[in-house]
Amino acid sequence: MKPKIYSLLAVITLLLIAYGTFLALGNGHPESTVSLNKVDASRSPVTLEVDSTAGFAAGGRVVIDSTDPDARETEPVVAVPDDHHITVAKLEHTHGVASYFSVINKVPFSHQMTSPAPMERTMGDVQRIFYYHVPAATAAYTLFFLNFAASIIYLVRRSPAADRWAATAAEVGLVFSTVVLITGPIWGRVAWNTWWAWEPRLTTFLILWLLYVSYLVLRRAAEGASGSILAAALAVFAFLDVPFSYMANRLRGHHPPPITLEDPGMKYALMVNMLAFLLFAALIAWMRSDLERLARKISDAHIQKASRGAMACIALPALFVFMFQERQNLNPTHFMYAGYIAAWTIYSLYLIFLIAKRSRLKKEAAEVGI
Amino acid sequence: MSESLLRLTAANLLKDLRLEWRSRDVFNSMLFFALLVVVIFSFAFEPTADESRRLAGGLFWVAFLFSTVVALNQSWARELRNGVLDAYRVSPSASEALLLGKCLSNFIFVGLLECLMIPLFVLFYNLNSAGSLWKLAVVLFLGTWALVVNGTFFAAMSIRTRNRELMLPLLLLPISIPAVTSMVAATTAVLTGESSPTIHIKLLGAYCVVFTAAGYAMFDMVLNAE
Repeated sequence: MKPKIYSLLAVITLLLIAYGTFLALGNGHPESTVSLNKVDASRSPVTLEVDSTAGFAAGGRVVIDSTDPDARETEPVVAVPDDHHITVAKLEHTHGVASYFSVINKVPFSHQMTSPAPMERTMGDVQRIFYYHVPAATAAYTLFFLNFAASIIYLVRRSPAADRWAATAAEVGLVFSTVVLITGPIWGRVAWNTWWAWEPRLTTFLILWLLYVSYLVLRRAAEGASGSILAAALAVFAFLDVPFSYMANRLRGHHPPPITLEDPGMKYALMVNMLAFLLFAALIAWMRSDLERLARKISDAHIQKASRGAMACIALPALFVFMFQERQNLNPTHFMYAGYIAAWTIYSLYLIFLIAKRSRLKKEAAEVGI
Repeated sequence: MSESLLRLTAANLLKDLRLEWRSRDVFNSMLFFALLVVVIFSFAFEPTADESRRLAGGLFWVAFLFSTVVALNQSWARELRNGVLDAYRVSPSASEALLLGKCLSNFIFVGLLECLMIPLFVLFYNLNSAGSLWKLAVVLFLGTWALVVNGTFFAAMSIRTRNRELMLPLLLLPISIPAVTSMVAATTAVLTGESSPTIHIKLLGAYCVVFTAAGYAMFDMVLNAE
């Protein structure tokens, strides 16, 4: 029964991730154009002169953007007479007084489900890292909270299942937060022109990452029941630490505003990816928890191999040579691909680690006779 | 109960103070370590008077964070050697008294160390504070307590692991980052006089209260973890 649900969930998750990645990555509808001429508010149909009408059709709706958020409006398109003109039914506000304004094709929901998210205007393709970055962060926060809740349950009830879930949640959460910490700077290099800023949310996340690394180090150094109690106590301390680290860093430095998504196509792509990656996290956590149970059944006395770090020793210096270079005119598309590749590298490395661990444990289980 | 807790705490504190008075090994090694850190930083940066006002807050607290780690490892290792922890576990007395006594004694050691090191800091870094000194005293008091209370708790935790001395900095430093940030910000604010340290002091106070309570509530579990 259980393997059936498991494989069903795995198939659904993989399909959702593929769909979400298609929505996030695909060359989205470039149906936004700019108009240079001033137009006045009017109750009757108005014809706008625009750069191009590719993708616009009569019967659709367009968003007429403005630097003033109050003047932003959505109007139905009456006709598209030629390649440089769009006629809308009416206009509530006057546009184009100070500078040019954008006209964006407002995609109906049915169309949203099949067409990829649109391109962000100022950041370009690199903004698409967002669709992997934010779901990974949400998954990491959820797993860390699960770790805290399981630790509390373990301290009160001393149930081995709670301890197993605490260990699992911390490890899987660390994988997801590593993805967050790697994709974030790749985005920041293009958007902020720096790899790293000592900004409250970044710093809090880094401290959180450090805390859970120390949690896993403690788990490895202290085994058995006493190790579980110590780890649970540390998890409570780590959870208490988060609000302080956020406050302490908020008082310290500059604070770029959080990103808000206005375009429904972007929101939809984010929602799909959010669901996909939360399911993915649940799936990995489930798999890891099963392995943990098997490992505890066999024995706690494993000596871990230390060779895994060797790869990082070679890869990191090469990365720094690349990062130190002072470059202008960065290509956002390259950085977008770098973000996606980095995220999948981390996920697949962890999955390979889990699969290797599983085959080793299966072999040992067979030897012991479980 | 509370009276006996007070009496037990006082007994633990007096025992630690007497032990330290007779051997003086923790305090001496801590003092020399802090001195070395101050001298090495001063060689490494060679700050002018203006720069040193900005740097001193960070250097001061980093020096004390590291020397506290040295002292805290020693303070529990001594108890382990003499089987005090096992004796304490079988005795009916409240285990929190042990934590409080240790915290207080460590607080006294680190506080004494600070009193000795501050003149050296002033000397090496040409410091003169632009803000009021009593605020600096409040920051010192709260900052030291924040370091010591978490440090004592995590030292008790780390001696129960396989690699005892190595474990303490790995556990203590990530937890202490917010406290260190607040201490450094408050100290720099007082020394340069450019901004108000009040909000950092409040945050530090809240940190002390929360983590003292958490340590107090969970120490029994850590001591009896089997």
